[in-house]
Amino acid sequence: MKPKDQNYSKSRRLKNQIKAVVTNPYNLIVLIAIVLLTYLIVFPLLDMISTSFTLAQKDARLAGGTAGSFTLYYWQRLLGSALTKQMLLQPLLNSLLIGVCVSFFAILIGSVLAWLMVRTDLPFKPFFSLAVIIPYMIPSWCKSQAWLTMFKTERIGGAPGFLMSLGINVPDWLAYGPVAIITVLSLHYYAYAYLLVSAALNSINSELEEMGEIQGAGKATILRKITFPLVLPAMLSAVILTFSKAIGTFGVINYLGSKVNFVTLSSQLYMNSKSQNTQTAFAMALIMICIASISVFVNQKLIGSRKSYATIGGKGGRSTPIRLGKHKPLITAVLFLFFVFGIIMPIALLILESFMLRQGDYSLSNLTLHYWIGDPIATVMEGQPGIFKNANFINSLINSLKLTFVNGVFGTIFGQIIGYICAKGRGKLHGKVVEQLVFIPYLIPSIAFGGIFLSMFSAPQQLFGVTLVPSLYGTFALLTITSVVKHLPFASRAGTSNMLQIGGELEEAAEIAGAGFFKRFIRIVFPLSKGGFISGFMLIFVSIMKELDLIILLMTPKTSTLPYLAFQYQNSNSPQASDCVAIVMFSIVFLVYALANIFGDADLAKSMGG
Amino acid sequence: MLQHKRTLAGILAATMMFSLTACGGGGATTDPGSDAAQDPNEAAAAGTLQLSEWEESSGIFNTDETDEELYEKAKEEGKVTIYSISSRITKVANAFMEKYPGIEVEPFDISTNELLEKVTREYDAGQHVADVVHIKDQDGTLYNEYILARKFYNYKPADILSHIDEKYTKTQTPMYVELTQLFYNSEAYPDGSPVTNIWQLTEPEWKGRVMMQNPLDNLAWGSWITGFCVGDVPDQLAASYKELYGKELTLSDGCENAGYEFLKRLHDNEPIFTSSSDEIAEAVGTKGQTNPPVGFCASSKLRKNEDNNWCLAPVNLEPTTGIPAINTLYVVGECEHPNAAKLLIRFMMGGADGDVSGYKYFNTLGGWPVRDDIEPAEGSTPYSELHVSDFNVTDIYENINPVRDFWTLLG
Repeated sequence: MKPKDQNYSKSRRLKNQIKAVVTNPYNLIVLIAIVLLTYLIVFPLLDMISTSFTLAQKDARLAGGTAGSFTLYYWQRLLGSALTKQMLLQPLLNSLLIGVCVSFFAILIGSVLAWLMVRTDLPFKPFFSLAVIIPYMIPSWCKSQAWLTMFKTERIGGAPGFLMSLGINVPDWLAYGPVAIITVLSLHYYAYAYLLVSAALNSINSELEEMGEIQGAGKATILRKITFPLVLPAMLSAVILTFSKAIGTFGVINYLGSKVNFVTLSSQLYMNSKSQNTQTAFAMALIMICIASISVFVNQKLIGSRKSYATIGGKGGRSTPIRLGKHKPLITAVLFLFFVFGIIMPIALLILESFMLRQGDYSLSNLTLHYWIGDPIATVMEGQPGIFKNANFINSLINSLKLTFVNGVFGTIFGQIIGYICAKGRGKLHGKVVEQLVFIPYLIPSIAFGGIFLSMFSAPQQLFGVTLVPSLYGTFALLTITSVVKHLPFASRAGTSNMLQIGGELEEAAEIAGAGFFKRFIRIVFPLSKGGFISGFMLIFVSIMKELDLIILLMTPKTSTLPYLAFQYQNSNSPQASDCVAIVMFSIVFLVYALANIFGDADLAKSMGG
Repeated sequence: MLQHKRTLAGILAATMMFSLTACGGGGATTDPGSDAAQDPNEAAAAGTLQLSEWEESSGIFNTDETDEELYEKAKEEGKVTIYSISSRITKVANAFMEKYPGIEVEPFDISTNELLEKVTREYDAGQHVADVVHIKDQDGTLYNEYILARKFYNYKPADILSHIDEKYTKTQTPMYVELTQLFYNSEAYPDGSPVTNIWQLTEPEWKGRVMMQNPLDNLAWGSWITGFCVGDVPDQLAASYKELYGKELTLSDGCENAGYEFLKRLHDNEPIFTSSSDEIAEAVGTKGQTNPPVGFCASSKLRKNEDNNWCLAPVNLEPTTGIPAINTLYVVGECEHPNAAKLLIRFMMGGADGDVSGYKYFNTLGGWPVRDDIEPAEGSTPYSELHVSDFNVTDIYENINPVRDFWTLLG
């Protein structure tokens, strides 16, 4: 009787285990996610790897082979030839320098701002909380331009810089090169840290800090021993985003670095890509992907060694602001100064330029509304009307709005789901795999990524003769898939740091009470992660709003978007009109952010309102 | 957990296979190796070309169709799509639709790299969206990898080509020519350019005062520096050196010819690199400077002189200002509107009669028409007076990467 019983229970246990694995929606979602990610990310990656080993027709004679055959030529040139130092080592060191410094300063600025905004009794919070995110919304070239307007030296000719015209001699090392790049990029990318850390801080129950206070800990100790460890995942996520963004960026580095011949791996990559040395460019991109993977890996090790970051627990949370005391006026003044230089100046410059009939002429008579609402004049802007009189503008506006909202929403949902997988699967293989996979698209150059997706989806996708995906060429669906996958790193990082904070006991309690997976996700996980959800949405929304390279490849001639319009104006010698479009884009993003801040997340607004 | 892993492994394997089959489906490439040495237009004229179905039906190698014949056929096709590197394409499209009602033109303004990536991917995937492509064959890639492989076609109407110098029509269907010219500030140098011979740029006086884009930046600049190292240009450079200094040029180690030597000395003189031609034009042309630099930039920047109140003036450098950038029109193979495409190309080239309603948008300061019966824009230096090197697609194509590597090694 006894053995039989045991047998019965063993097989039943096995059966139950299998049943639990198969019927658990979590496993199903992990499975679907891994299949999709593998298909959408690993395939482009394999394509790039194989391209970097294929001999191009142009190089066939030089490398001594036939076009299209397997070759080590490109890797050998990059890793072990006379060119290695110039093409790889020096740029790589520069990239790391920029990446590390920008991450450090951006995280520092972003975290301090987030802490001040969320946890202290800083005055004018509603104003600051809106202003603080603006630098991320204005294009980075705007800031590099503002930098040069300020610090330009005689070295590069043209109109003198502002400081030089005052008779102040600016040294070249300050005006161009690494110092300038690090400053501009740090001021651009602190938004990641700010958004992620402030979402994390918002969810911390101040009881934790008060407990420390009762025990007699000083403010610094509380900050170091309680607050800091709890927001660490968010900060590390921000480090990864900032680091890979800083090593991947190109525009600012080329604009401020080329004057002193400062190149990084990313500027080398884009130079090669624009010189149609695709193979070399891909090889460089692969190296950058490896570097980013290492940073994700290190992050996993750091986070993995900690026990728990759960701050959203079963108990009610409340937040008591920390008093700044006598430092309040000083801190407020410093913040105001920061905003004037970091935010108002570039925007003012952009707006001013959009009103100038001729560039560089700062007289009053040169001011005009022509680029906004003017009728066509043959001599200006090659005879095109101002943007609000251009039928194309409205069309582009609608397309851009559609694209950003649809993709923002889809991207955020996927991002949060993947964040959920990464958080729940922390330390397990599937969690690590997903976390690594998701990060790859960001470092694949847009043009390559768009091109590969265009090829993939232009013909119906078949498996064993069954059509799985119809031809998506020229459809909105293709634009959506591509932009969502490309921007997944942002959304999923926001999701991961968000989900790490939600204590498992809440879900367990619901499970015991009989709630299914979807119910738990919708009724518990989602409402608790709303702040992070909105942060994720903003990150992806802004990026897609500004995206050009990726989308231009997939667009048909009839679908135009705002960045494309700005590109067209720039191309036809009308930078002012291009500025107008940039201002419109900025206004939309700002409006959405303000609305999200006010209506979308009542808690955030309440805590910020003091 | 173990089962979990196994399932994952299985799924991964399946997905890989899926990916691979997808790969096979997408990459329907034509073999560029077959007819590689044979120019399709020449072979077709000689009757030695095995015509494909599309080549036959489109009559792409015909040279004698008139505007009227093409218009009749094009009306049946109803539309034509052009990808162009110029923002002026929208105006050209409107002018075309005015002249030829019943044919809708869809213009798409896109920059060189994206254009080529897009049209190639679409062609390979069998999506025949673009009919005509307006681009520059800067390094010979288009001729060697697209024309010879019969992905793109040169449409060569005899009546129009009779007005164009043969050296431009051999490997492309040219529309107009642009240059990378040296510019100086005419306010600071009212007596004319401080530099007339290209070797002066390598003198100490101009150390750190020559502006240009980094030649490694993009294809246009890469091709331009390659132009100095191929054909008879190195010999011209050596002769010009002797003329200026009265002695023979001595080549440094690793410099094959006078072209490489010039690049090395130019590089050693620390030119200032910018990220765009506009920056150079502004730096050189802004008024009120006491010690302005000189700079190489796209000749088309001359158009901005008046708009921006600049005083840019071009230099006709001895012995050469470099190779030209030729704006070219191609018909995309297998396209759906070949007749409308041909009509549009004829229109953009100035038609049989030199009707400039489609051409005038490109005939501006800093651009030169290739046709002998169309006058360049007012104020232009006649093209025949400019020192311009010949553009040989094969020379540039085979040497651009060695020259880039040479420049990279300079540091």
